[in-house]
Amino acid sequence: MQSFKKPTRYDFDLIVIGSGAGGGVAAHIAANEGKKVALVESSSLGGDSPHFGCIPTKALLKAAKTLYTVQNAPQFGIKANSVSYNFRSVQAFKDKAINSTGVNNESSVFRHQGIHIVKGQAHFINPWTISLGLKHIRARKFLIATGSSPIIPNIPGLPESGFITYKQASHLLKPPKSLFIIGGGPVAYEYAQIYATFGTKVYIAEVRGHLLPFEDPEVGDSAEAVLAKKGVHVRTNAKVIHCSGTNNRKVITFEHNGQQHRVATEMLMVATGKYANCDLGLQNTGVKLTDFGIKVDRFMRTNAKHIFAAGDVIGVDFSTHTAIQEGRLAVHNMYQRKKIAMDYHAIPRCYFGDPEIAIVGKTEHQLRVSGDLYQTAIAPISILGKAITSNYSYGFVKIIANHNGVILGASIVSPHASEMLSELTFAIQHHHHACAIANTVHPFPTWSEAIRIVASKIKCI
Amino acid sequence: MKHVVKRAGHTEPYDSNKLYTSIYATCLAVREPTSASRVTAKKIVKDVNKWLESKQEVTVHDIRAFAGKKLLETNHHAGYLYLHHKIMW
Repeated sequence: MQSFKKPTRYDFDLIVIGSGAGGGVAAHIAANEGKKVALVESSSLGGDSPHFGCIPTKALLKAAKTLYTVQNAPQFGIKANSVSYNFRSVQAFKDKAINSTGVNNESSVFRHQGIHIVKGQAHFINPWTISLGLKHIRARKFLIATGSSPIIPNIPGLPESGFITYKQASHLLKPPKSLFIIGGGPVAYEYAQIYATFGTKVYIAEVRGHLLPFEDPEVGDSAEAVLAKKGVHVRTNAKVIHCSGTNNRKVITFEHNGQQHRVATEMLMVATGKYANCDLGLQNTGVKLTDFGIKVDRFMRTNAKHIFAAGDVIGVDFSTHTAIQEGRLAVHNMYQRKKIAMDYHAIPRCYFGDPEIAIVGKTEHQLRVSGDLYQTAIAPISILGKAITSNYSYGFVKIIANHNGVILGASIVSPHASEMLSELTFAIQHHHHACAIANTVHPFPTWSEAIRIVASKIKCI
Repeated sequence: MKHVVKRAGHTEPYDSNKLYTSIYATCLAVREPTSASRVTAKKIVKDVNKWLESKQEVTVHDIRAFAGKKLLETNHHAGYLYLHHKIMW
């Protein structure tokens, strides 16, 4: 990298590039501390989460779950003569949910705090200057929170045949008759449930051995069983090798068990992961990259001392809650003498659906690979009083602990799993023994009783 | 119009012909046939133009890095030469 002279005057104390979960929080905190802050955004304020990610999918899942509950009401003695839905009204509910998050008023909220909002694509000209259009803005410090974009795999015929990603999937005007999803991660798990409930014939092809491939196999197998129950065709160890067709008929060819299969569907969705948005002239700053995104230390600082990064762009964890924590710590470490390191050992991972899947800490596979001693305990939720009164029997709670009984990881497949997980996240974050949970009274009848039952099976020394 | 920030700090309009000429010359330098060199240079210029669509201003270093990365995918030797020859000489 060529050497640049540090400017003597700056336009801002801090420029935050990206207004999503990480950037937005950081801009608020810095402005509250009296810093002169500019927030640069190239598309909608608020980032992916309220527009394409967490909020629209959860609203659609709620609508789908309600439909499923009403369809299955007779098991509780409730008679529902005709059950139908209007997908435009469902979308209107989803749009209302998005608007209720305040994303439309966000610019006034930022401005009220004295944050300058600049629309445009930021590009570093030198380590202290970004170009926006033809305007140059200088700042003492930068926070890069540009998020991520969907990975498009290199499959012959894919661009020509046309496909959607999570960015379009939540805004469809009507459910497709059939949908093929390439990839079996969290996005596929959620959208398969949404559209299968609304009557779409859904296919999933995952190249690895089970769904949710970065979690333990029993979690993936549970997800597969849940989807199969809803009529979703899941193929694991299946590699899509070719796509063809146009408009409303796509023909997808995939390899499974050494044989080639063909499926024709109305719509094709790519859900093969995300990549960090690093195309902002970082070569002019000397900031180093990893294979996954911007390289940062434990304090969210890049190798350029005045440039920090947070959120999806560092490629560590692509969840909103992680981005918020990273953004918070980045701005703290910029201005405070006492630095706080980012701790990833108790980050919850939640896959919303019916049932929800929630995981925190280490997986059994990770511990096996690292060679650490560990013990596990598992209990099905069917033994719970709550499961009996809900006529629901599918799911389990699993706790992984070290040989002393200190909880290292946990997986829950159950209704309200994401709510139940916080107890275990707290225990992992603060290195509590399983017996601490086992000796805590849990109300009867609740889903969280399963956590106490499993914790009591772990041997504590 | 796209602008390029030069090494000295001044800016000038982006000229795709300059890029084409440099890529073409690099391809010829690694003994790629003339016609193939033209095709490669055209392809790289097209890629760079597409990449520049969302940008108003970039540095000359950015263009070299992006074009070099694309050239590495097409012709590894030419890409290596394009990215490093200024350092080598």
